Amino acid sequence: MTAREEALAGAQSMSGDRVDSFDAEAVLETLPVSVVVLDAHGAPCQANAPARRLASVVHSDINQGLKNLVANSPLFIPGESDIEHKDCEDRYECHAEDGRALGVIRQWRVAGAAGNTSCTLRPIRAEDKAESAQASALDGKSTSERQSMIHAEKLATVGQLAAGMAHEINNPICYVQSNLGTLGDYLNKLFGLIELSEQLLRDSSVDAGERLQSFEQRKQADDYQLIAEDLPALLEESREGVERIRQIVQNLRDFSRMDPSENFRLFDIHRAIETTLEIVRSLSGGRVRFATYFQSLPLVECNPTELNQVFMNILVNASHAVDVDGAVEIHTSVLDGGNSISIRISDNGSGMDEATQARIFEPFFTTKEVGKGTGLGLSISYGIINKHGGRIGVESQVGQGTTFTITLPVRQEQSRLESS
Amino acid sequence: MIEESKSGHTFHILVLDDEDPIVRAMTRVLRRMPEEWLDGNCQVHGYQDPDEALASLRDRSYDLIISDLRMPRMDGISFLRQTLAIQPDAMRIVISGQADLPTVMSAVNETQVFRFIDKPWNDTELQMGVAQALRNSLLQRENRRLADLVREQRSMISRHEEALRELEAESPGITQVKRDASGAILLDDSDFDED
Ligand SMILES: Nc1ncnc2c1ncn2[C@@H]1O[C@H](COP(=O)(O)OP(=O)(O)O)[C@@H](O)[C@H]1O
Ligand SMILES: [Mg+2]
Repeated sequence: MTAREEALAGAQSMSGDRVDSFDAEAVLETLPVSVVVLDAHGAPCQANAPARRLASVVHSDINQGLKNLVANSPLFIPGESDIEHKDCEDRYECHAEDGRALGVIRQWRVAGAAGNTSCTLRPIRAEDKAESAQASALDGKSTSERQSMIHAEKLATVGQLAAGMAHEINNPICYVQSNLGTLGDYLNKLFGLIELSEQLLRDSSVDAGERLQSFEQRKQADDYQLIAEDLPALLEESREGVERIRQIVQNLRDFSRMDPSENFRLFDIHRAIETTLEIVRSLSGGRVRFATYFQSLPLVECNPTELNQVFMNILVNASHAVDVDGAVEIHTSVLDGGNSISIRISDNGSGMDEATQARIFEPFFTTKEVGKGTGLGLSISYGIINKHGGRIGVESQVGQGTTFTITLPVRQEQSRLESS
Repeated sequence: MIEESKSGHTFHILVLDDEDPIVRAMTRVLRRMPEEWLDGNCQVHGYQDPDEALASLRDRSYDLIISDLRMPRMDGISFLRQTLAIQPDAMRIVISGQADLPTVMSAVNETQVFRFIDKPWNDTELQMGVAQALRNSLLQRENRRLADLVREQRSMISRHEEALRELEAESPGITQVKRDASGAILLDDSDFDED
């Protein structure tokens, strides 16, 4: 569990009804993040050690410092005391005594019976600027909520691809169906020949040579030779068509299945990529060229279903971003003396400007039209990679293309496994 | 896949689809075209690659071009537009799994598509559509042939008139035949003076 998650968990337990039944103060003190508890009027009434340290940076008088830190709370708007308070987060520039401004991220939790409010404080550091995006859609959600969000996003992705999928399934259906029609025609002709031969066999009035001749004539007229040559090919092509349909349906089912029981296990990343690529390839209707450049990788301890979803999101985004002559490359390599691996997915599509790049991991951020984008794909991907102790980053240039780089540790830290 | 013509005319059809099994299935359907719909047989030339198809179009004359709309290397509309430049007289049919209205409009307006056929197609509808297109192309060819004939005859007539005019200019009155009341041709002695 990251410090951030622990803080949230801590703050959550404080806001529950059990808050009175245990020593909140003791719990508070042990938290590694700054927490200030506010009374019903919004005045600080309690602060743990990290919060007091932060307050002392802001003001020589710790109490004044605390007041400054929790000033302008979105929960306590003057004159609107009876509005319903809700948990929320804000960013605030707190003015210190010496005139400097200290940026903080404040997590506000409305408490239960006591009417108290807690505020978790985190200074904004440079990395937070990027990390702010990481306030992933998954953070602070219960397991079942997470599961259903991941599932919903998955289905949305599949929904986005419905048109491509229809095309992909349509083609084999088209030729299998047509081939069945041809097969029917062939069979009619063959049965006709059998009937004729029976007739000729029974008819003893004509001599053998003549019978054979009229049979040969009929064979010729019915394209017997052609049918005999074409039948095996017709059957084989149709069989392949049905197999293709089966494969597409199977892939989709695998992908959309929710498997809550699945957990971290050793898995072949290349297999995960291939599975996902297969779906995306088939769903993008052959419009995009995909190429893989795989280095030999160790098995990676991961949740394969979740990683599939990450690959799916990135590959689908890439296929959305490219135009005609779209090309997507996937490179994998071993890093860090075999302790981690990296996966690079590059496209030659539209690319993104800096402003867009800064926001892509935000939940619900999308530049796509309604119905095509959910804006959840990358934020969920971020959450998943984060949960794996990995990193996901982006490089992009407008008009040139985009590269997403994912690094993953080969083995999970024990603590992360336990907390997941 | 070249067969001998059983009867009459052989129609040359170019089929382009990026998927080989589609081309082959369509070839089968067209090969078993019912005789009562088309007098003659179909020789299908299947292609998966639009550039190869275009090369073949420059090479031989086709009665009908059938193309898919959605292909990875070149979209069907721009392929058909190019065929229009190479063989303006061929008929054009589009087969497509998902033709939206704007695409249909641009196909009709820009490439004079004779007909749209859905994917998956109905074999009978496909055969009927193709037979109709081929009959049309025959008809067009016949009309063109007749028009050419008429033009040729007109120019023959005008050449004839021209010759007469020249003759008249050389010997005025020579083309004006004089007849008497019974229809007999009257010859003026002066007509022979020059000889
Ligand atoms: N490969 C890419 N090329 C260009 N833009 C991209 C790419 N991947 C993601 N984006 C941008 O990031 C946004 C967010 O992506 P995502 O979270 O997957 O949501 P969605 O795909 O539903 O819009 C996209 O709307 C798009 O603007
Ligand atoms: Mg997406």
